[in-house]
Amino acid sequence: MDKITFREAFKAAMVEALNEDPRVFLMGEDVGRYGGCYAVSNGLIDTFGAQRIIDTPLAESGFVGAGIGAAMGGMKPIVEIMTVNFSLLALDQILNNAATLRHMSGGQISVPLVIRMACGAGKQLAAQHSHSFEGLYAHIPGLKVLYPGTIGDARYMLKMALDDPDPVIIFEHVMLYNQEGELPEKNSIAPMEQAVIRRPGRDLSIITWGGCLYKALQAAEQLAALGIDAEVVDLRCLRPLDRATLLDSVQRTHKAIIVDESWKSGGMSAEISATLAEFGLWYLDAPVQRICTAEVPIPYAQHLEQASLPQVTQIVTAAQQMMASSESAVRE
Amino acid sequence: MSDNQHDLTMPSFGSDMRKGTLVQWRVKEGDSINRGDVIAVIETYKGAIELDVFEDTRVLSLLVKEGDEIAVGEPIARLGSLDHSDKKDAPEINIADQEEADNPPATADINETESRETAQPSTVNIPEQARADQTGPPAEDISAAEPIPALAPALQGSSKLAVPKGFVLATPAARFFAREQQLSLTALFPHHTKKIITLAMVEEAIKAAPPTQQADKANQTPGSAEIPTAATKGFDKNAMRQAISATVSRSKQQIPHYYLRQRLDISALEEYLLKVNASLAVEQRLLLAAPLLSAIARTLINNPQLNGEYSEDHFVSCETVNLANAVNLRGGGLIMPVIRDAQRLSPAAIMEHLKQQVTRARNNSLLFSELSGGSFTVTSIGERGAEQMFAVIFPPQVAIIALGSAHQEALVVNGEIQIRSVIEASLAADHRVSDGRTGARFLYQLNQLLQKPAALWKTATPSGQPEHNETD
Repeated sequence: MDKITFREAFKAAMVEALNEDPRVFLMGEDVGRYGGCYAVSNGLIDTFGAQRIIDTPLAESGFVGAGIGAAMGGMKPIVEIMTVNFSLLALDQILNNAATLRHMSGGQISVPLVIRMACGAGKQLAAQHSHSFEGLYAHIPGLKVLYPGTIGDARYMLKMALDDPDPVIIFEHVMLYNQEGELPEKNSIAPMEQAVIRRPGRDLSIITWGGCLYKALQAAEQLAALGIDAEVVDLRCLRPLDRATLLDSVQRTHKAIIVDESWKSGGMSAEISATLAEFGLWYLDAPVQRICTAEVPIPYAQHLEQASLPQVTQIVTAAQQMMASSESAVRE
Repeated sequence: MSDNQHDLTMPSFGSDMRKGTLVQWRVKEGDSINRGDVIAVIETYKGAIELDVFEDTRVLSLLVKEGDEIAVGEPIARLGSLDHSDKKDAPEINIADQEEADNPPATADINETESRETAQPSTVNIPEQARADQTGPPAEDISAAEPIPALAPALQGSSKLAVPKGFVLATPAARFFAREQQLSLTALFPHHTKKIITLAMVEEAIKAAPPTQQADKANQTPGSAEIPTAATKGFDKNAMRQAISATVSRSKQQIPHYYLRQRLDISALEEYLLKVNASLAVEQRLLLAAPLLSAIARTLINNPQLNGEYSEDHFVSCETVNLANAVNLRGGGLIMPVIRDAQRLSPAAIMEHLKQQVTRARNNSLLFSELSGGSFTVTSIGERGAEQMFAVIFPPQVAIIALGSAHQEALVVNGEIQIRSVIEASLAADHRVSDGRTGARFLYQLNQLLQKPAALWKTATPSGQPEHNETD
């Protein structure tokens, strides 16, 4: 099997889409001549030309709106937003137009738009360019929210998103772009709305997605050496949320740790905890644990940035405490 | 007594029961109760049995004291309809609730004490906040709720957890499992109030001690807040022996039994069951008893003269098959929980009933409604028992089938000798109600049905299997 990087996987997905369907085009800031801020679209303008790889002005509301219009008119636009914080400038277009037009038109209009956004912390881009807003977008009915955390999903989820008749947001974690992995067979990829158990285990469920998946898998390896058999559930799609799979996992393991790179309060981890409380309470054998980013603006200094983010050691420690809690949960 | 009042009388848990002791009231005068609620615990030779009610009603007055011995049929409580008394009683209830709302619930006291001791404001802020936010629920809900242990330690890594008195700290999974097993946590863990009980601890505790011993501990726990279950009483072995002896003597003296024996070929059923079980998770797999009971019930519905009650010199057949299943109790004795409407149930549904009833029978926690109204009894000798058994009819029923142990035999099938799995079934039936031909037809049809096991997994029709006429 070939080894490729996430960056190459995201790019290969776009090349495939551009080749297969003349309605597909890419639009965003610096995606053309500069090759994309994270070099995902590097060289595409030479292959597909400036009409299909469109450099836009620094005006997110404008070009996301243009993408919505193009989608309404029968095109299949891929709009790249440089980092997720800039999407806030286009939030009205995304949540008030893209997400609502099918409803507002009584089902007459579809918006088959795909928006790709780089996101996440770890590259010392400081408080304004390191967000994880997938929970915020997962809040909005009318959108679908994907967050690939494996090479296979990075390579094959775009096609599924383009085939969907409604707007789909794909998050790309900046720390994944350079990671390498083996590209699996296309037919081994689950449908985009389905959560996948990346590592089966009996003792506890680590529920995560996107940029934290590899941390969870590393933690599970370390835990295995300590005699704790952790299951890792990759949600992949945060809206609609595959509650059945995560509940099924916790019904078997009776314990859940949620790893989420966004803030705890009112976030995706809170939604998952609530799901466990609403539908899985009687299966829980320990309080749900959440490992999230510290509730501060992401620091610039590297050691502080790392200290603010979920880390493998935190997951391992939480799991160990959880397993030991039956012995000493109540200490004098 | 006005139209909307009536008396609840001491029920009969069997035709041989003359009186019972009211061990414990589970309700107070003035309580509203729902259909299925347990109103009292009554002790008979069968052990302590929880008496459940069949209607939504209100307890107007309790006519006997705890410990009183009451003859069957005597009134024990006066019940009234809900809507009339509601209006009359409503103001009183409001006053009571108001009082409780004025006094802060017990959890508040505990949390506040805790905060002074630990001097960690963060551990109390969260519960405090939660209370301040509770503008919605009525006072009744707050006072009725179980005290909630402060979960702040889980959030803050603090080492102190408030343990309200009489409340066993347990995870939801542990609580759920204990409830499924019909065991109380206070009974299982009388001395573990400082530890959070987990699922694994409950599983271990159940393995470690026989159910009756666990139950006995519950009574000795001081300050136990959980209501003692019927299991805390246990059954009186000698009394049960006497009762069994009285019943079988009466049966043998009064009922002219006739007996028929039929070899049931269960090879096809075993093979089919193997296939069904292969596709099921281990905990969902069926024992042979489940499809056997299902087949018996479906065959019985076409043989009404075997299914019903004989009393006051005449027989009344029962419209449904209420299958009494004889369960041996550890330490001796027999109890016969009933699976109602068994002719309509799938083998999987019957398996579910069997699992629950056997567990509860052995914990002495069967409900009155489960022990009454049987229309036919099945008794099995079990895997390591004798090949064949002849049973005594349980009055006022008119027939009983006894199943020997499943074993292999060399049989002549289609002109050649084959090794087949068989069960020797014997039917004992009341000759006042039916003749040998009826019983033979029943056994023949049962054996025929067992040769087409797939039919048992199809949705049962209200009338069960179509009638076979070839023997008439």
